[in-house]
Amino acid sequence: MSGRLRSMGDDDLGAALSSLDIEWPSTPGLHDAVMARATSERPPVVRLPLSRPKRIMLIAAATVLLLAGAAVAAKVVIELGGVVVEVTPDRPGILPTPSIAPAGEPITLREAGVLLGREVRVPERLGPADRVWADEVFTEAGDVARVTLAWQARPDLPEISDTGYGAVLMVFEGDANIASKDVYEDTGVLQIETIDGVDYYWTRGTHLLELLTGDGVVYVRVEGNVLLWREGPHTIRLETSLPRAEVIRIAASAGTP
Amino acid sequence: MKGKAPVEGRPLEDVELARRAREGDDAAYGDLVKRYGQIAFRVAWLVTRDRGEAEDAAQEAFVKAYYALPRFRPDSPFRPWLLKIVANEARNRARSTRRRQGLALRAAAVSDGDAAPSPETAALAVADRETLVAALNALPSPDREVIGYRFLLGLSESETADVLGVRQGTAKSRLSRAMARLRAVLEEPA
Repeated sequence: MSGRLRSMGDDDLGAALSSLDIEWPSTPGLHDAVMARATSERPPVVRLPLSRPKRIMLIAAATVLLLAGAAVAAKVVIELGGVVVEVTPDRPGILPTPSIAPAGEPITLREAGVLLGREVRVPERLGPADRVWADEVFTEAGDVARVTLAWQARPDLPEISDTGYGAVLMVFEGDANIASKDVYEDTGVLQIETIDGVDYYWTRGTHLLELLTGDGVVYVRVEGNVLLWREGPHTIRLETSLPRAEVIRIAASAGTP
Repeated sequence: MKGKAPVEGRPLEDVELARRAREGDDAAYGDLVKRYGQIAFRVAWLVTRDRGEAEDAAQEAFVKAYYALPRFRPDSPFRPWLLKIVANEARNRARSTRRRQGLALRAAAVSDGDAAPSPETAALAVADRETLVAALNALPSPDREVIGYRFLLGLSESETADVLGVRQGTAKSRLSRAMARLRAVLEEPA
């Protein structure tokens, strides 16, 4: 290991990086393909929901590997549409400070319903949300909305890691993967439970949320307990510091779509 | 613009090409694709580290940018606006295909016959270059991205912030943290 590199200040290290001659892959010719596509009709938006058999197969794989406590050499990936959950044995050495994911612009619940194309069903047990935001991202499936509702911490909703909030509910539109959760095998737990025909995915312990927002990708360290489930074309994510059974009761209090 | 000498030719040309493209001049947009195809592809490759994915992401981003031209502010710089779309597209693809362990960065081979290397390149020994590239490859993807944008691709601080979709101050602190982690990797025993 070079002592010279180690002794460099930031400016010199930056200069050294700038002077690196990287062997980039050759650049493909993009012009003709881009112009042919751009000048033709805009393609229709197509969304391909994950098929039920495939999802069940993934659930089964996760159950075997995680609940049996087997050593997992490979990553386990569960696709819920808007959110992908990935269980990995490798936890990075450095994680961001715990926080609530950026949520976009404040809007009303009614506007959120218009944006999502259907009423936002608020869990009755949580009561009216204290904050509502929405964000839109540009994906290959078109513009995709994400609506976030938040409830201030209160006696029956303990605060999530110094965030000031006791519950945060996100609604992801459609099947474009705009969020990815990395759950670490050494500190995290992923459990799957089916109640009244709804598959609930429960994660507990430190995990990393990688989120595509209208302002770019953000990485958020999550310490709260998170429940994920599907409601028709939407993926719902509910973060609290409550235990699993209580959170499932809260989720179920939103009623059936 | 008559009588006002441009400080830099390219940004003004971009403004004019983007303005024409917004008005429906496809040839003008084609010129922008040719001009920024390489850096768009490299931004996508830094994220995906897969040539095919990077090509698809860059192509898709150019198509999306074309359709988004009505939302482009003609008085703002075109390159960071485009590269932000490219980076978002590439991240989407990297996420959906889960190809995080792609190809590593590699230092270009240096042969004795290369003519007149830059003073900086000449000053950096081959071993140091390889060490530095290995350290870059050992960084988490977000760190590698911000360092790649700023130093490998030579984007300005402002452009780096735009491509990351964050404020300039945030981009600077991310870069600073990434550099600290790079330094930590360099200090690890071999």
